[in-house]
Amino acid sequence: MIGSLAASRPDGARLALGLGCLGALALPFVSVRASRIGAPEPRTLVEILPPGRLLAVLALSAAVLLALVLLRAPWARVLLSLLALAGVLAGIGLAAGPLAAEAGPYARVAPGAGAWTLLALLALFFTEAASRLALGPAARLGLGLVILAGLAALLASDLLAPLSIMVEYRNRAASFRSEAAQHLLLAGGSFAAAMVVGVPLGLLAARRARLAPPLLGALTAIQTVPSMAMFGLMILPLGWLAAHAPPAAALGIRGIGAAPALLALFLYALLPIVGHTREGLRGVPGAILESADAMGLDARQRLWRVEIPLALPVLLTGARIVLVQNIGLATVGALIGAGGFGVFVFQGLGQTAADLVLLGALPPVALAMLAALLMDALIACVPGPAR
Amino acid sequence: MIEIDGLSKNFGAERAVADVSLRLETGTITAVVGTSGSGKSTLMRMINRLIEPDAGTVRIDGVDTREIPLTELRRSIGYVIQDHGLFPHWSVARNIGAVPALLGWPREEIAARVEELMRLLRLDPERLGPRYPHELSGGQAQRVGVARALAARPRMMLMDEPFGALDPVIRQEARAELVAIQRALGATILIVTHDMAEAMALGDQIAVMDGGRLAQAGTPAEIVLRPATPLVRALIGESERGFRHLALLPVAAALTPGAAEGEALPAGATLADALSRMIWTGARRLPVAAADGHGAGVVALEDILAAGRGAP
Amino acid sequence: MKGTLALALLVAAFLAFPEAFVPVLRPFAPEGGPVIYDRASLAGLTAAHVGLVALALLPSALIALGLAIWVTRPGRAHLLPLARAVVNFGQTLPPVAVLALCVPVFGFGAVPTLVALFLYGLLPIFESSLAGLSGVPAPTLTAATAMGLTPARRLLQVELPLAAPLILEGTRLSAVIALSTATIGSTVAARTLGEVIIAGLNVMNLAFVLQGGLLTAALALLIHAGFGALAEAARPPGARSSR
Repeated sequence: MIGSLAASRPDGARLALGLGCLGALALPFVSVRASRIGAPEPRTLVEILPPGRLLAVLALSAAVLLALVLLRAPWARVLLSLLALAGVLAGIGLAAGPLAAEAGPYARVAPGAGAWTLLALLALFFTEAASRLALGPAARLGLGLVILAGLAALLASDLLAPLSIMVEYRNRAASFRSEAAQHLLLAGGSFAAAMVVGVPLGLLAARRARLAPPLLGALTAIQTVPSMAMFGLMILPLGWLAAHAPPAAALGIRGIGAAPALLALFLYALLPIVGHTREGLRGVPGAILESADAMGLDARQRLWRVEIPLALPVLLTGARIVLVQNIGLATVGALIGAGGFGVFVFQGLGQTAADLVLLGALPPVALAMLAALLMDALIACVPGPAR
Repeated sequence: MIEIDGLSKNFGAERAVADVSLRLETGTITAVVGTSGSGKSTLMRMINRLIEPDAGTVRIDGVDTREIPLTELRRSIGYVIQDHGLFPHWSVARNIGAVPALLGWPREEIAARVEELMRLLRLDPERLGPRYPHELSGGQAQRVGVARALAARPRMMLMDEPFGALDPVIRQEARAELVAIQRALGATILIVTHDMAEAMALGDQIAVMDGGRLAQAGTPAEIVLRPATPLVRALIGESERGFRHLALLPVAAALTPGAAEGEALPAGATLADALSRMIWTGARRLPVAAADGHGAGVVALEDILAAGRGAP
Repeated sequence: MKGTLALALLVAAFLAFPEAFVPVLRPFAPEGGPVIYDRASLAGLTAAHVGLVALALLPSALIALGLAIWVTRPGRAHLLPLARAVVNFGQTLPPVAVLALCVPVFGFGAVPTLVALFLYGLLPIFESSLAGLSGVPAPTLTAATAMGLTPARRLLQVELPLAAPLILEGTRLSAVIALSTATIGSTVAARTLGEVIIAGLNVMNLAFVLQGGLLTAALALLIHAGFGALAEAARPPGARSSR
């Protein structure tokens, strides 16, 4: 059984990953701090575990790594790498509990360099095996949701509770939820607005050849303004609007807060949407347009029945870029009081509280990956030739 | 009947079509031949007004095309191009039924028409109807393109290099199929091609374009026997001219009474077939069978050569 | 071209004589407040900013190109799906998050910014190098091999020259992103033009935000144009655009 599943010669890349994991086991697995902003004291597995258990953990790890290197069936490696990832996360939690208890009430325990490296290398094992499966977008989305559910279950259990990042979360559970909602509002709202404005603009740019270079040039220039400055500069027009147009102020438009952040994200989002819409429309083959005209489709029918459906995959690729980009950039909005996960990032940076930074930085990463998976699945749903 | 009268078109300073007049009789095939850049495609596109002429008129059954609403005009004219232009996001059946759907036919009627056309063009409706264009072979896609053009029973068909993307064997079949369909439906067809052999095989009338002007229009025999310009002569091919003409003439054109040794030529054979047989068998006289299978007479080498020269 | 030159001159003039621009920026500064950032010289910050980006991107470009060359060698085709998957994953990481995630590991100062810029720079360069190298037409490669070019010569004389425009395109994208992302580094005490923007946001002095932001944008545009010219020069003569 094992013989038929295992490769005769180990794959070079996987062998390197496996050796990397072995090395990572020797690095500090967790770090302990006397307080949330104290200096980290690294602890290796050797220091944490009694000799008997250490031997068991090392033996188990070696067996799993050997299997990850040698197993031939990709699905088996996908499964095993996910189990290993869950195991490392659980291990971090299990190690953190007693360490936190013994180091005092203000002590914090966080994953150490070894744990992070292990997680990263195991994620690579997973990616390698998953890419071998050559899953379709729907299957990828399914797998993504399963992993997400697993992660949620892990977070809901008390296993990870002793970790510093979870302590930070518990101290701010209410504001975490409201900032999460605000983050989604910023990213989603600006995305929707940019689609509504950007698609017609892209259409216009595709139709009027002379309009495209100045329009795309201006939108490219906007992209070069660094996000912090862009958010800051949006204060100016909106502050003026609030001061001079009472209805605007009544609507809650102020120089500082969500409105300038939405405007900045909207401006950043325009280039990918306008550019991709234009590219998609221009990519419709001339023979097809000629056929449509010759068959007597009028301009509106040609646009809605032929051009837009055929441009849709490219257009949605632009939308995917924007959604992923906006979820990340919305983090910066916190600098001008717009809220979102950036609040925790910048608070954490200000307090040199690394785990608070993580609390703010990890959710946008997860959100962006989920958005990418969702958009990929959506793009795959568009009918027509395989792309 | 389609009457093209003094049609001209310039693209910027470039003269694409200059003062072309041509008549297409109802129920005939007219083949427009020319080198690339001769204006043949532009001429064709001005008939369904994909390109608006600068000057001149096109009348279909006496009605100026400018007086017909654009979409109505186009929906009444079938259009087939080399890259077939099938909509890649629609199934084969939906592609074929596109114009009837635009014209608001009832759903069942469209379905019935699609099935009828698919059978006419030897496309299995069950198997191929739900497929998408990228799943078809080149020959199948081309036939779907023809079926789509025929769907709304158009008064005429415009075809721009419709067989250009097919390999030679399939191209032969597709030509024969087109002629059969045209004879059955009595459609008026204008076909654009750069291939004189194709024009000869298909056209009741051949129009040769050169530098935007109509160099010559006439029956295939007229074109072969009396090429009006050096270009027409070159398009026919000097070394093939005699054979080209013989291929247009039935054996009946050189039939004399009598009998000869050997296997009889079928009544539908051309003089080119007869000459070819003579080259291989060494015979100078061949028997010809009548349609009922009895001996109809003989063709003699000297009579074939005379007929090839166009002598009476 | 003329526009780029004018922009370069404007940037140089501003860095040399910032005081000359006071009248333009005055309306954006608070009443009686400073108009030009005064806690450090703008020219010095600009140099530090560009230096940081260059220092991060140089190894980034070398490693990304090396990896792309490595996975595109014959016999490693099985590694391509993994490479693409890693690139795909990496591109969903927000630059801000990458920077923030580097802080817990590397602490404050220039180092986390440097590492974040280095890591984030890898992706566009790797992706476009991969596209460029795997986009060399198979008949060209076959012809090169049939002519007796050794693998090394084939890489140097055929593949890299043909892939150069795309490789440069990726490097340009990385540089522009890095230039913009570097400003955020100032929130963790890296010395960049972000310092000016943050100071402006802290005291609501939009003149600071403007000069920090527009200087960075101008640098990005200049780098964009510079790489564009390089890519055009590197394009094979047959494929050069008519202009």
